[in-house]
Amino acid sequence: MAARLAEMSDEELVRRAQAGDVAAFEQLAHRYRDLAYRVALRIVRDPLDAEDVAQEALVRSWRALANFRADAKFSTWLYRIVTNLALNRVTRGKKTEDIDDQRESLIGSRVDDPAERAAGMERLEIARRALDALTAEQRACFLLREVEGLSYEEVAEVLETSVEAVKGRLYRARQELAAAMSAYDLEDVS
Amino acid sequence: MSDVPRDAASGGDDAAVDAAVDWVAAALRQSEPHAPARVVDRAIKRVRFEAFALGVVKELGGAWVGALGAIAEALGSPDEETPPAPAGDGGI
Repeated sequence: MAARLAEMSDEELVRRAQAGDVAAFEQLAHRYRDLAYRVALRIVRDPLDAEDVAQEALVRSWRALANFRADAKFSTWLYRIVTNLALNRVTRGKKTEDIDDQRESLIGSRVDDPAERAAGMERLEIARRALDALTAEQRACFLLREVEGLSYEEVAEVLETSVEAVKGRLYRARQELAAAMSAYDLEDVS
Repeated sequence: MSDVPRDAASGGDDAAVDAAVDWVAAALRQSEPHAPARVVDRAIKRVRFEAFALGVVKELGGAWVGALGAIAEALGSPDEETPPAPAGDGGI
């Protein structure tokens, strides 16, 4: 049964989960857990907070499945739930960054070469500092568009705002990032 | 998570801005953080519990309705048992 669920489309799993099939929802949760955690981590910046946000987002998506429109994409909907929860957490002002833990969780254990791993950590640390120059809303906008690859329309849907507002935030985010990165010679840190 | 194509809507940024943005985005993309297994395990535990609790409430709800119906039937409907008001002729 688990193998059959793994082959099903998101739409089919959502339909089944809406009918009360918990196993179908579990398949969706496994499919999108990394997305939820990744977005949460990059907005809240703290691994433990990101775990809380990702977990809560998955539970809330289950609770709200009845309201999910069949013409929407489950991933876009989950992006919205995660982003809202993460921005709320940042707004509440809870900030307990542990840079070492964050590095570990971001790099993971898949890079075996110590030199490559060190270079990856350095690049990540620079990127992390550059992201500090952005407001939480700009950061969310930048991550969804430039890192996650969503369209402007999808980012607007996730952030519940207009496409024009997204473009405006993104423009400012890009300028801020470029200013923050001007301290580095990109050739040296590539 | 492929490269995002640029368009005019990005504000007509110059090459230096594009380069900086691409660099940061690439540094983040290569990290691919994975959710610890406990994230989804805990979420699923909560969902299973909520689904179970909802099932119990529905079951109990159905049982209560059934029990009340049976009690009402045993006692008889108050409407049926209430003797009709005497037609009377207006009293004495």
